[in-house]
Amino acid sequence: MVENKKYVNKYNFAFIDEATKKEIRRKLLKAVAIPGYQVPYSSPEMPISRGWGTGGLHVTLAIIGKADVFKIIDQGSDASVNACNLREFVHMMTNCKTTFDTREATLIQTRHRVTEEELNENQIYIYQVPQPEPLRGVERYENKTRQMHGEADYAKMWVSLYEQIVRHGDIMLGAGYPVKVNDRYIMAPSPIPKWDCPNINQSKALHLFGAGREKRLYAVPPYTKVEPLEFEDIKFHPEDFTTRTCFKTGYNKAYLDELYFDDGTRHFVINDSNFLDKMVNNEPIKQHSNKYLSELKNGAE
Amino acid sequence: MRRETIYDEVYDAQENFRLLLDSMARPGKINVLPDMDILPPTGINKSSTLIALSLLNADASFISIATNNQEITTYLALNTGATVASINTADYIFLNGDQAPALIDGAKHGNLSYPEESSTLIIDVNKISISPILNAVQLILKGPGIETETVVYIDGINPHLLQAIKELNLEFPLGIDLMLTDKQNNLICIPRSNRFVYSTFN
Amino acid sequence: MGYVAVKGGTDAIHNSHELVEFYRLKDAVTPIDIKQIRSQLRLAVDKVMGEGGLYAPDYAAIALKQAEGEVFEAAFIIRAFRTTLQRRFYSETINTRELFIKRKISASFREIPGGQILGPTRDYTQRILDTGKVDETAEDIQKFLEIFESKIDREKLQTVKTYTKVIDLLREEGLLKPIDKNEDRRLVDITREAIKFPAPRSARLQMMARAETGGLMAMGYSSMRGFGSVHPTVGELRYGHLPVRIKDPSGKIRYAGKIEITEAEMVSSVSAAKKNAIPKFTIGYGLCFGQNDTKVICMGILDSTMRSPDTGSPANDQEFVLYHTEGIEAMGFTNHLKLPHYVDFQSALSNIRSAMERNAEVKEGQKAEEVTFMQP
Repeated sequence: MVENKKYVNKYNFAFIDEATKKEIRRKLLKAVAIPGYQVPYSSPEMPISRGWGTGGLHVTLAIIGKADVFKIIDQGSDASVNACNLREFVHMMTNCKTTFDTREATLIQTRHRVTEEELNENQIYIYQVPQPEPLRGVERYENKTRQMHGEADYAKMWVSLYEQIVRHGDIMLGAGYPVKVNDRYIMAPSPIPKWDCPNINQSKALHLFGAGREKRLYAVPPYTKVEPLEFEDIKFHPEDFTTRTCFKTGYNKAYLDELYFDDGTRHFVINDSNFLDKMVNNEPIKQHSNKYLSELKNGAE
Repeated sequence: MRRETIYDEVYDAQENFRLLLDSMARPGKINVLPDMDILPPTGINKSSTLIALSLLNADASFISIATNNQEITTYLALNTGATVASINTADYIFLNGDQAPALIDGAKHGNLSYPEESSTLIIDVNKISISPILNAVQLILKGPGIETETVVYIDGINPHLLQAIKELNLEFPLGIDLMLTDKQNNLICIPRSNRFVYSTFN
Repeated sequence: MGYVAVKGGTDAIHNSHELVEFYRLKDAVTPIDIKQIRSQLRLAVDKVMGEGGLYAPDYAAIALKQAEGEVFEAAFIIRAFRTTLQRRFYSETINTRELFIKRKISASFREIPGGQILGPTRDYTQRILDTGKVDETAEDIQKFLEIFESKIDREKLQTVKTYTKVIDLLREEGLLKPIDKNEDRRLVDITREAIKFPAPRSARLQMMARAETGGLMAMGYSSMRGFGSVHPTVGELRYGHLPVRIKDPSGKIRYAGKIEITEAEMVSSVSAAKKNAIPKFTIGYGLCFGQNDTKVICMGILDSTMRSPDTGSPANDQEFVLYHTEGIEAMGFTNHLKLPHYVDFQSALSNIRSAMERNAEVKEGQKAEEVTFMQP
C-alpha cells in the first residue's frame, strides 16, 4: 500500500463503494425473486483475479455487516491458499470475525463445495461461479441462451444429455451438474460435485451465486425445489464412494478426496475439512439429509 | 424539506438491506426495521423510507403515487439522489395499500430475456401481523422460500390491488415484486415467484 | 481485531508475498523513481492507464513499479484501485476537435488541413538495438534537452491551433454513409452495468477502449488478413491532449484538467445494399488514453466489423470480440486454472471409471472407446 500522503487512499468498509454495493443489492433482491435466473450486474474489478472468486466476493462484500461471522472454503478446505487469501482480504476490509466452524458462520463463501454439515436458517451460502450459463456447452451465444431460458426452451440441453447416454451409457456431466430450480430455470450450481446438488434442494439457508467475470448473479431461496436433470429411465446419481472409506475416520457417507502417498499407495479422506475435524474430534455434527445419502450404507459400520 | 443526516450510508444501509434480503428470501416472514429518528413527509411509512434510503441512488429511478406524492417525491429525491421517473419506467414505485390497482397500470414487468427489468412496489399499509386482525386481508403464501405455507394478516391493503398483482405475476418470470411496510416498522416481501391466496378475515 | 482463523495456506501465502518482494529487490540496485517510470516508460504508463480504465499517470507508474513492469498486472491493479473511487461527476462530452495536436497523420490524402504532423512516433525509427543507451547519463539527457529546446521557435508555438478533421471534408462532400437508423445509439456505462448483446455502439467502444492492445490487434488483423473484409484506410490518426470539463452542482461547466489521447478515424468503403444505390464511405472509430496507435487503429477496424455482425468472421462477432479482448478477465480466468480443482476432478474420475467399467462389461476384450467428459 502507498503510504505517502499524496497517494493515500482510505478504503471503504467492505472495499466496494456504496453506489456499487447498492446496485449489487438491488440485483440480489431480483435474483431472489426469480430463483435460478441470472441477473446481469456491473461486477467491478476486485484486487483479486477474475476467475478467482470475484463474484463470490462481490456478493459477500455487498451483504456483509459488522456482526457477521465469515467462513470461506475452497475445494472443501478452509486451509486452501485461495480461501486463506480471500479470508484475509475480507477480514482486512471488514474486521469481521472469521471461523472454520460451519455451524458458527453466518456467511459462508465457497468454491466448488457445499458443506457436509447441514446449513441453518440464519446462514447465507455464497458460491463462486466460473461459468454461470448451464447452456453454454450447447449454445455459445449469450443472446440465444437468454432466449432459451426466457422461453424455457431446453430441448438442446436434453438432446445433449440423451446423446451422452447413447454414447456412454450415462450422463457424463460431473461437477457443475445442471439443476432445475423451482420447476422453471435450468441453473449451473457452480462446479460443486453431483454429491452436493441434493443438498441445495429445500435447504434451510439462502444460496447466492456470484459469477464475477461473466457478470451474473443468481439465487436459490431457502425451501426451494432444486432437481438435477434426469430422465425417467436414466436417473441422476451422485459420485459413488461405496467401495471407499476415509482412511482417518472409516466413514464413507461424505465426499472423499483421493490421495496418493509417497509410497504410491492410494487413500481416501473426507474432503470437507471442518467436517473431518469434527468427526476426528467426535464433536456432534448434523449432516445434510437427502434421499441419496439415506440409501447409502457406511462401509465401516 | 428535511435532509436526513442521521442515516449512515454504510452501516444502516447494510443492516436494512439484510432485513430486506431475508424477507424477500422468506416471503411473508415479518422483519422489523429499526425505528430511526427520521422525519419523512406524511403519507409514507418510516420503514418505506428506510427501504428507499437503503436501495436507491443516482443509478435507480422511482415514482411516488401516494396521496401526498409531491412532497414524498421531493423528499426521496433529495435524500437518495434517485431519478424521478414515470410509472412505465420507474424501478421503484411507492404507494399506499388502499389505492386502486389502475394506478400501477403500465408498471414495468420485465421481458423474457431480462425479467428483472421490472418494478418493485413499496406499499404502505396500516398493520402487518401473524395474528388475525378483524376486517383485514388474510394472505396465505406458498412458493420458494416457504417450507409449507405462511399466513399473515394485513390491514390497509386493497384486495383489488392484490388481485391485479397476482394476475400480473401469473406470467412468471415476468412480474412485479412487493415490499410491504406498516406503521410499526414491520416489513414483509412478496416476490413474483410467490403463489399467494387472499381473503378478507372477519 | 476480531479472531482470525488461520491454517495451512496462510503461511504459504505470506512466504510467497515475501519472496515476490525479494525477487523485485534482490539485486539491490537503486530503486526506480515514479517520475522516471512516468517519463521514461511513458508508453507502458499509457497502456496501464488505458487498460486499467483510469487516467492517472502517477498511479499507473506506481502499479508498474509494484508489478515489476508486468503491464497486465499493473493494469489489473489500477482497475481494482479504480473500484474504490466514488464517481462524483460525469464529464461533459469531450470534443476531439479541440485536441491540442502532437501528432496528426492521414493516409487518405497527401495534404490535409494543418498538414501531416508526424510528431513523436517510432514508425520511422530503425529498430536497431541502441547499445549507446547503456551509458546514458543525466548530463547526456540535460544536453539533449538544451539543444532540443534551443531549436524551438517560440513565435511559431503561439500560432498552434485546431484543424478541421478529414472526416469533416468527406462529410461535407456527402461521401459518408449516414448513421444507420437501426444503430443502437443509447449511451450506457459498462462500468455500471454488464454489457448485453447485441450491445449499443457506446458499450462496444467503451469495452474496446479498456481492452488489451494485443487482443484487439489479433482480432483487427484477422479481419484485414482475410477472416473478414475490412481493410480500411487511416482517415486520420491524431495524438494530443484534450480538455475535460464537468458540470458542478450549480450547473456551471468547469475545466477539470487535460488528458492525453490517441484517436483514429478509419475509412472503409461499403458497397450499397440495394441495387443502383450509391456506395459510400463509413468511419470506424477508435480512442484510447495516452499514445497507442496500434490500439486505436484496431479499435477503428473492429468498430466497422462489428456493425455487420452476420458475416461469420470472428472479428464481426460482437460477443467473440468484446468478451475475448478483455485482457484483465482473460488473464484472470486463464490463471485460475492453477487453483486446485481436485473436487471437480474427482467427479470426472468417478464418471470415467464407471464408464470404463460399463465398457468392460459390454465389450469385453475390445479396446475402450475414447471417452470425453464435459466440464462446465
